[in-house]
Amino acid sequence: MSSRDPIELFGLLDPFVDESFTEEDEARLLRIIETPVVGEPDPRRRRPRPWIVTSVVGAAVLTTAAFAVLHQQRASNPVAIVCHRQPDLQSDRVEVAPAADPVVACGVPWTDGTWSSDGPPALAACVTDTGVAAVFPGGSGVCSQLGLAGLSSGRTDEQQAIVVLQGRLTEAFTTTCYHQDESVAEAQKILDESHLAGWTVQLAEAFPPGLDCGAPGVLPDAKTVIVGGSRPEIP
Amino acid sequence: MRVVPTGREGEFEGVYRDCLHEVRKYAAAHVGRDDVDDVVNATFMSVWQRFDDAPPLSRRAWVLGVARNHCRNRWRTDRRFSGLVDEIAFARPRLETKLSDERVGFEVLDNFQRAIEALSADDRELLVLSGWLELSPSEIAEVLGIQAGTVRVRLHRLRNLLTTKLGRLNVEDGVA
Repeated sequence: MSSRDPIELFGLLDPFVDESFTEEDEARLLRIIETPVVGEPDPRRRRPRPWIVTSVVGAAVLTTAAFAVLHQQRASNPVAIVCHRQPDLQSDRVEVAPAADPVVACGVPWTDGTWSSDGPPALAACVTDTGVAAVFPGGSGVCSQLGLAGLSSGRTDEQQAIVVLQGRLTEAFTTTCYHQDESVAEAQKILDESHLAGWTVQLAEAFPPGLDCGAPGVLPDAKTVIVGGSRPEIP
Repeated sequence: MRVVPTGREGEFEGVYRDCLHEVRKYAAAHVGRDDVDDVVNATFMSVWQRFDDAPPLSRRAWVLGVARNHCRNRWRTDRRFSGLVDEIAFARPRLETKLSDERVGFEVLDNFQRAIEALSADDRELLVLSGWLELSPSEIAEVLGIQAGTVRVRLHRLRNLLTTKLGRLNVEDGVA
């Protein structure tokens, strides 16, 4: 018996063939590219040039503590909370549902076995460039180390209304399969009842075949409820 | 005539074409074929929205990390990679041809199926990332959000574990 690397051997059992691009793949590409980009990064937050970094590093150390205390803001996007596994924006992350306390919400992946079953480490809540609450392991200085603002607690009335809107949309569309026209009408009805000013409902695209049930998304920066097609939920 | 996109759109199209097949393969292994299209749609929409955050040198791993998050967010943890054995069984006729071309005995299929059933979901994921997607330890580390050294250790242990299990199942990969 020869001793072939078992992982290499497993590679032979790859059941997929390299398929060429289908029309649906091309159509998906066009649909995505035509979708407006929400929450473009703020050009003022671009990474500074290295020589500037060198010259300001001393000052940065001195002001870090003050930054951590003073640089606090609310998340402009209240419908998403991103939990990071490491104090690094590129680290493994999961998104959790809106919650009053993002730190508590992000304790879940540290207790349910996703990352750990031992409970969360010290966590700190920050706000990303796109206005999303992001929670990282680390002490109170982690936000400033990452160049982010700390998350201030509480929501404005509008943010609270957006969270409620998100919850109502989720409840309505997960319990009923609304087809394309019904989806827009139902989303509009729920939006009207939320009394959010300046918001609109948009159809992302005509529902593709097989994705017959509406799935709404809330885009706070664009003040838009966007409705796309989704596969019916398997009971 | 199709207009060739430029700038951000052109870069995104390049990533889409480079990574679509791998995202599809990863999603099928993770959540099963029925949900592949949903994962692919959600993944590339997220990639498009966050394209400016993409690291320039490891976009493949970054895109797979996005796909991984979508898989984990939308489906229960206990479904992770549970369909792997079914995937192999489904493709059995084609895999037998492939094994024959490589002069590997068909019993490898059955033995791997039994060995995979005994692996943890984390080890199955590692097997897919390394065996099917042929990612390097550094790329796997980026997808999983852990250190490359940790990946190497886990691959070493997985290799030993599989060797033991397959050996116990009396696997012979040469033609008798």
